[in-house]
Amino acid sequence: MGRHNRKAPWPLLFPSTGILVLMALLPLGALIFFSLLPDNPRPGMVIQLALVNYYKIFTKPLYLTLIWKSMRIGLLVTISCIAIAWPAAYGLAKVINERWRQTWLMSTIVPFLTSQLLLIYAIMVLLQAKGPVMSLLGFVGLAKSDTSILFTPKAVLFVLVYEYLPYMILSFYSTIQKIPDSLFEAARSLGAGRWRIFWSILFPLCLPAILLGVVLVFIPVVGSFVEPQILGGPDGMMIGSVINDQFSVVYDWGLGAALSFVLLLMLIIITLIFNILAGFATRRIEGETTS
Amino acid sequence: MKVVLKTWLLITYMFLFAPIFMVVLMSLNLSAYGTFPFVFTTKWYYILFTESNLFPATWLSIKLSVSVAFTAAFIGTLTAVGMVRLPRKVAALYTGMTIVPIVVPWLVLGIAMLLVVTFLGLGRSFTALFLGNLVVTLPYVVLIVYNRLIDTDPAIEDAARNLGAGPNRVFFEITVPVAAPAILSGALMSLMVCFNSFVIQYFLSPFGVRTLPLEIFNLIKVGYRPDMNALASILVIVSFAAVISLGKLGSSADKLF
Repeated sequence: MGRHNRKAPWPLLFPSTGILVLMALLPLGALIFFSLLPDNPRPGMVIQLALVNYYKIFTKPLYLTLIWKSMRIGLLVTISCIAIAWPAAYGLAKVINERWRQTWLMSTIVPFLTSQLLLIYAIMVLLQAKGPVMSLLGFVGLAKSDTSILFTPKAVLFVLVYEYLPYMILSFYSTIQKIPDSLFEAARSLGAGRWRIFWSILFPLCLPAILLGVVLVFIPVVGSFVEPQILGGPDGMMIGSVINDQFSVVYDWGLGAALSFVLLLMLIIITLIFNILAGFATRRIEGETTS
Repeated sequence: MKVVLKTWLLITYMFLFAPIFMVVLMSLNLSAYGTFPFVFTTKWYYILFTESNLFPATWLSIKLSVSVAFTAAFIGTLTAVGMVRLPRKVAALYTGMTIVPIVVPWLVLGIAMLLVVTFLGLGRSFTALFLGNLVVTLPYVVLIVYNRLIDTDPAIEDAARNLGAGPNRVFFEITVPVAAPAILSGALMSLMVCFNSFVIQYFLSPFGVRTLPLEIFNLIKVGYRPDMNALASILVIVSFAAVISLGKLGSSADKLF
């Protein structure tokens, strides 16, 4: 008697399916519907669908500029996270003492379980004028201690890298940890140098980690609005800020829904492109090594 | 090379923990503006508990996250038990659907949920808040419990059945005990995620109702507050406690994602 021929898995799945449909799938569908409404819905309104909101998005340069800017920030943060996390995760998985590994690893999820707002606030405390970092820089003579990068776009970049770094570390760790040491040893004994080992072994095997990193870091970063609002100052605005404004300041729900949908669609397309590229690269590398 | 990697690792983790450490340090510093020199005080903790008036928001957040975590643990476990019985490919598909709420940016999800609850006549309400948090915490329970069940040998359950135990007895005396640490881990993850789900709470909380993250949001917009340091320190200690408990329950960090 195996697991699969026992009957009736479906009743067990009803509650979660119901919640997922009601609070995730239906809402994402509703986003499309609301984005086609020219006015905010009122009781008794005759529903007419129109593309007014999309017309606004693609004719006013503000929205496209902000989407582009947010994508650039997302890319910059993702690349920074990869650059920091890759060597760190390699050290975590392959270099440090086995005894300490679990402790390091578990401490990585502390920021994840800590409120996003407190992390933002912690960066505020750290970077504020006359705070610890600026005092130190002032002391060394690199910057004036009563200035700060807070409330500029740089602060947003900094806090986003800080917030999403743990995801990238864990993503690389779980991939690198699965690579057997013997693979590196074999390559070394066959005379491969460091670069060769990196490009022929580590890089292709880490592509899934990069892909997961894109999902866990790039997507939420492009959609962030809290960080720009608190730390970004007047120039720090991202597309998320404008979307949020449509729901909490100007109450133009249709435009907000349309912007959200355009953003979501672009993120899905980018993820798919990454997926295809990663698959392509993997096949190419495999072809090279087998031929 | 090893030394370089170790140093890199050390610096990375210093970067991750320096801001948190600084907040804890500043919560014990007398200066009201977070400046040096450091003078030890517990004044800000005293102010936090007497004047800051954060108790109602904290209590509301605790009630919300405990009820969400319980519900998520129950429904998530049912789901995982059901998924184990599905063919692997169908289960993978179902997992994909389950994690939609944590892959979509929460700004977009929050807005989309607000639109639906408004359309259904619920509007911003406790029901909406509860359901919204449930859907973003459910994936953690489902994934953790499902992975645990997949790893256990189905022969144990079959043996119990062959020895004459009914399906209910097998479920309560074998499946549940085997999965218990995973269910607890999932519940704990849900609790923490729900407690901190600022963006979801921001869009679904009834007007005028403030959970702790919403309260913190309003306070830190104003800027540096010494009593906020004290609150942040306490919450960071809670996070550490949660992480240690997760470790004791046998959850490894790299399996939580």
